[in-house]
Amino acid sequence: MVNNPFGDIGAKKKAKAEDFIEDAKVDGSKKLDQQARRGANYKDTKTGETINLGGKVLQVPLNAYELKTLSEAALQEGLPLATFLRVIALKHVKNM
Amino acid sequence: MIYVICNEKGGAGKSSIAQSLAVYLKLEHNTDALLVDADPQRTTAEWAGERAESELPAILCIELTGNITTQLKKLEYQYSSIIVDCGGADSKAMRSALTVANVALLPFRAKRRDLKVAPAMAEIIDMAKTINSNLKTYSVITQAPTLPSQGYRIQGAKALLESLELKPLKHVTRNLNAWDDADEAGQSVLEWKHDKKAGDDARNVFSELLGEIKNG
Repeated sequence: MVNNPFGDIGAKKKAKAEDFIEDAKVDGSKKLDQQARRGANYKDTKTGETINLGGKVLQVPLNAYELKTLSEAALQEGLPLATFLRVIALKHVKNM
Repeated sequence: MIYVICNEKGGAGKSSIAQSLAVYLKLEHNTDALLVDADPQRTTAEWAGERAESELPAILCIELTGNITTQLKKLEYQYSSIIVDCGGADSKAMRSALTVANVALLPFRAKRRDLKVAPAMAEIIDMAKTINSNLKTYSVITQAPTLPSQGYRIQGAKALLESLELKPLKHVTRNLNAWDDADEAGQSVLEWKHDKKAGDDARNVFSELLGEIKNG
């Protein structure tokens, strides 16, 4: 029946074969990386799906002078040092 | 006909059931049976290797991993029976096999730790059935305690599996040494002459399974 007012009730959700297979806990592509850094993914509150993010953690070696100067500047701006570096660098990129 | 022997929990007797079913179909039903070992532990592949070196009728066995849908579809034209032995894990091999199989047989021991994964397995089977409407699912209690006083455990396990729509078979396999002894010699319990009780259990389970498939 085309105009069945109850057409949306009781219909079983049909899985897509590819998604069903890739959902495998052990070797599926959607499996969670137990070694993943904090913030490497987030859980979509609507679907409950875990979405991997494409970021990366970089280690930037700083000498004592650079660390002191940048830390003071970050403090002055009221930002954590890492955030300060990201903001400053991105601002610089925009002005390039 | 593709049979998938699967259960996320290890140690339930998937390999033993898969090997015996292959022997049963080949020797007692004269079908062209192929074993597919989709378990990285290679239990069934090694068993088939030992068997190939003996005087026993050889059972062909191949090893497949990952998404095995395409291979199974092709092999289905070459063999009348394909028995897939999945590893004790929720793997791509298990899920992909379920999307093309005709029968899923899930062995469970009547133990709390085994049965705890039953709801998750029932969910996986439900999902697989939305893709593969031909899939018929059955479960079997394996390594059942032989003491009559422990019968309530078997009944309890069957009731749970029934409630999850995993259709437990009436017959069970008992916890008998023949399962282990026969495996060592590259045989199945169906061929093990020193103790025929385990072979009878297996024969009853498979006979009931084939009957259910035919009538169900």
